[in-house]
Amino acid sequence: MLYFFCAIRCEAQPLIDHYWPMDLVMSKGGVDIYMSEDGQSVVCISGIGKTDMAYAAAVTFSLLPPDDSSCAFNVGICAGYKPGSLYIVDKVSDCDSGRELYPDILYDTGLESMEIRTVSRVINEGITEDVLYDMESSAFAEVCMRYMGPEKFALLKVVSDKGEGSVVTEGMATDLINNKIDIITKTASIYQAACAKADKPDYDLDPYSELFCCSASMSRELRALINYAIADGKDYEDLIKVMKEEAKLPASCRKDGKEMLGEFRRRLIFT
Amino acid sequence: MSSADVSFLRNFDRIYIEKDAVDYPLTSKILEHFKSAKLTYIRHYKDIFNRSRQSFEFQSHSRKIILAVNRGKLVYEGAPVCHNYGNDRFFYTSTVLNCPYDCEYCFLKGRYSTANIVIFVNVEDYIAKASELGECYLSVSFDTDLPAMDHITAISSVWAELAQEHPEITIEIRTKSAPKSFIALPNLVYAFTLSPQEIIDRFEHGTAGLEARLRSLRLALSKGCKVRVCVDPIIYIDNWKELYGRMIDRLIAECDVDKINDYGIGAFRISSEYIKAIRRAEAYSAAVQFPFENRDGYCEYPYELTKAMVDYVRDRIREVADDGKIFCQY
Ligand code: SF4
Repeated sequence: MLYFFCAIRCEAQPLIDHYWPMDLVMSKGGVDIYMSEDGQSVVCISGIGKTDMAYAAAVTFSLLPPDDSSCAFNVGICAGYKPGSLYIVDKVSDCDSGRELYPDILYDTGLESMEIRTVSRVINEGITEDVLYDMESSAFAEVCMRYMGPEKFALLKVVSDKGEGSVVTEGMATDLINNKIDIITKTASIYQAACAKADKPDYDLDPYSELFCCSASMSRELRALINYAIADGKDYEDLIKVMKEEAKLPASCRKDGKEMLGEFRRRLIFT
Repeated sequence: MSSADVSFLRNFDRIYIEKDAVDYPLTSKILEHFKSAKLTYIRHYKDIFNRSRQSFEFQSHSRKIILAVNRGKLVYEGAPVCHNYGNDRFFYTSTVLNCPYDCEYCFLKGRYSTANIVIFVNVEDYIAKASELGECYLSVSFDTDLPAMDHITAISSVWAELAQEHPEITIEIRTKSAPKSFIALPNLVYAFTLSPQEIIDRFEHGTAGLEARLRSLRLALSKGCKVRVCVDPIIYIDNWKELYGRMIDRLIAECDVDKINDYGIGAFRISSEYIKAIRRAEAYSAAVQFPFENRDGYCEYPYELTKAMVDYVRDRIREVADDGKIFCQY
């Protein structure tokens, strides 16, 4: 599942339009959560500031828990040096707590990366360094770190102003995100494709466990043996077939199963 | 789009630097090698290296370097499972955490759960600490393959200098690479880990091939260096005997074995603390998915198998070396 978190509706609207049709699945405590009809994309509008973002992200992940293939994005506008530019954030500094967080930057998205500093007030005095400023990123990153690995979330920020007190209207914010929506959704697809890689042997252990009358610990041992067989290119199914033909399987009881598991292990390793 | 379409950023496209590490000479030297890398300044290497829920699997496609200052312990006492080669006082030290190579069975995958590499740039502090150890045996390529990083760091030569100045300290530099420069000293041991080419191809990704390792070993011997040959870990696969036998045939035929100082032999074994993480990172590796037996906190092959493999290699080495030169796992 793809999760998008935006502070305000005008930032979220281009995402809602992109993944439309979407249903409003929750609207409570200032948090709106939309889900696409295929159940694959979620857009959450948190409200402004760290508290709102932390609350919204935690509520969303509790209501719709992420799995191994899920990834999350904080999409929004920020203050920065080059208005109109889209960045992927490589360092999140919380200016209140001093804490620094680092999402992994592993995939070739073509985006320039940049540090973002999260503050608790609007920046009016102008920005003199090539860094970004916003009011939610550190909260988003903090919550993500508790639910997923650092390779599974990203902060995608479009610079709206130079932090000099100029007014950014809702329409301007929507346009800024809209102008970059293709790159934002393409980046999300790259993360999704990378994270979809569930690179683990996939088989149903239950029928084999039954054959050996397995206890929980015997099932664990059996799984380890089958994983080894798969890794080493050994035909474990054929081996089980042979043991069935020899009337060694199915095992008549747990004691018998234990013995047969030892036999299976021996044959798997040494034949 | 499928996962096959995802392109990862190249290795070392980004370097994280602790603010305290900026002014060290080694930092400048390393940055010279990575002129186009993006630099990210950090407060403490653990903020990156020790993050929770990292994925070795993902990060191994796009590794990053972290330059840091080690403010903690610099030298450790060796674990009982390590060969001590007859030395009572065995220590190890890690100026680099993690390895640029990717051996499927590497214990570092269990120890660190990240593919990123930390280089401690305050090497002088390590040298100062090691100088105080007195008579001892010090392994300096422990949590990494130090020579594999030498084109970037040249840290091996710093340890060689220490060996030169402190004859009471025997330094071991162990590698699966094929170094080309050596310093001949009686208390500096170059330890070459040899594996059959089939094992290298299947499990020791990125390391030097057997041919290159043997060439490097010959060069070290010709320069009069103290050379150790490690057939450790021996990895079990169906035709292990044939493969290790052929490799030893080559060693005997191609190298001046009389000049080899000693041999280390051991079958694969790993702390049971690490095996879960390694298996997660290497779901399709027969080397780590093997159904090991847990003996005293270590995952090992069944005793008979360990014994058969170690005995076989020892017997073959005995053809050219006395028992006093052979150090075995048991
Ligand atoms: S060379 Fe050694 S340290 Fe490096 S990956 Fe292989 S086993 Fe690990």
